[in-house]
Amino acid sequence: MKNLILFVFKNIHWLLFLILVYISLALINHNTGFQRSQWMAVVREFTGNVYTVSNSFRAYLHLNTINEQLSAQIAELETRVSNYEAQIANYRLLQQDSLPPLPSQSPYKYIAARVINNTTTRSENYLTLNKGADEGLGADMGVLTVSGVVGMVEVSSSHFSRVISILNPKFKLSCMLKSNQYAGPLVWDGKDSRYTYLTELPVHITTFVGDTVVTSGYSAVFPKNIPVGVVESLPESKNGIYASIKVRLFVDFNNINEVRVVSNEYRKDQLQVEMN
Amino acid sequence: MSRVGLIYYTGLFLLLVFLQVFLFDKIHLFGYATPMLSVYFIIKLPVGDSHRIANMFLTALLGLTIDLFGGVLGVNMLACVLVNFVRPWLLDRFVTEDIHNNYTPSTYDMGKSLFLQFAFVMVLLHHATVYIVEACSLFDFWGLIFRITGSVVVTMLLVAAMENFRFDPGK
Repeated sequence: MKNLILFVFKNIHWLLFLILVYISLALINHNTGFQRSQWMAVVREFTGNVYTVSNSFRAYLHLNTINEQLSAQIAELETRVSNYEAQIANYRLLQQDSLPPLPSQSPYKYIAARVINNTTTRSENYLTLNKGADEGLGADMGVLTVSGVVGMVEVSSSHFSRVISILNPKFKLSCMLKSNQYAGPLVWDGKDSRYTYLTELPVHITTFVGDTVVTSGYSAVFPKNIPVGVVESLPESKNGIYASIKVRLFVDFNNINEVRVVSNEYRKDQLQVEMN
Repeated sequence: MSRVGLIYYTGLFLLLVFLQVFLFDKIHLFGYATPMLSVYFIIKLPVGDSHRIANMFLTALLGLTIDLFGGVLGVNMLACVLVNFVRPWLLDRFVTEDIHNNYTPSTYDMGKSLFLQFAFVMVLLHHATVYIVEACSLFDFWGLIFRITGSVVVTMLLVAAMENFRFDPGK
């Protein structure tokens, strides 16, 4: 017995080593689960505050570009709104009597947020936003910029959110070609932050370089027709069953500052219907 | 450990985490090389059986701290724990016998060539672990090789630079 205790004591560093390796492997293996735990919410509040400090300097330096982007977007939206208003006015003139009620509200709500941390160089990339559950953010909400899709909220603590980037092979976004509406998952290959791949398309598909890739709206995370990127090269098929297309992303992932988070109020209903 | 040593290691820990999180993680030279200088902390830990357990906890904490600032939990922790565990054997290989027992690995105590060889093996092991674990989600052989090679080169340059600003707690 004494010898056994001595033996254990003498080799305690082995035991400790194995325990630590076990803990780290468990963390790697159940990463998403741990990220959603209460402990990580506390840690995220702390790291988020640290990132906010460092981001305040960076954001100040980028104010000019951000302002330009925002006013460009406002101009575009104003044009669209005035077009719609003109259309509605015409519509009312044409059929005054039998006017069906216009939809009062869109199910999608937008919340503005700022990116305070962002990686593009790893094989699994994540972003951190400066808003969280207190501001109405929650898991499975889409994240966009002026130019296109960024990712999806994975988990929110009270003031910060972790976003899984489309530069992450664990996130497969359902997208389609604008010209012919063929849809498939968008999957990143882990190499270049400017390109990704639209996969699982039928082999006979016809498209052209420069065709726009947009969200399909099937997943209830994003509205339909949000721009993602353009077709960079023609479809290739490795196994003769499915073809994949290289897509150049609209969003410059090395320079993301302001984003919008989109929440879908009908999402729960849609998921419930799909489950049954 | 002396008070000077305690301040030195606390300062080094905080400095390396800060640099890693705010500077090195954003660097991506030639599309592949990202320095990970945090392994320098493990290189510089005190040597000897009496420090073994403390070193283990410290390296695990270092890796976990870096992981907590974004990225996948456990990757850096695993790499740091592994590297620290093989360190005593590596030191036995690289350190000549006439060195006194209580020292910290440095160019001063080990000589430039031996220290850099020792640091190289440590850095290589650490980076290889990090990138191989990352590659589990997406395997790309040449990408993996380029990433490891590029990052090891950049980190070794930084380790050599750090050694020139050396402040030795033992002196």
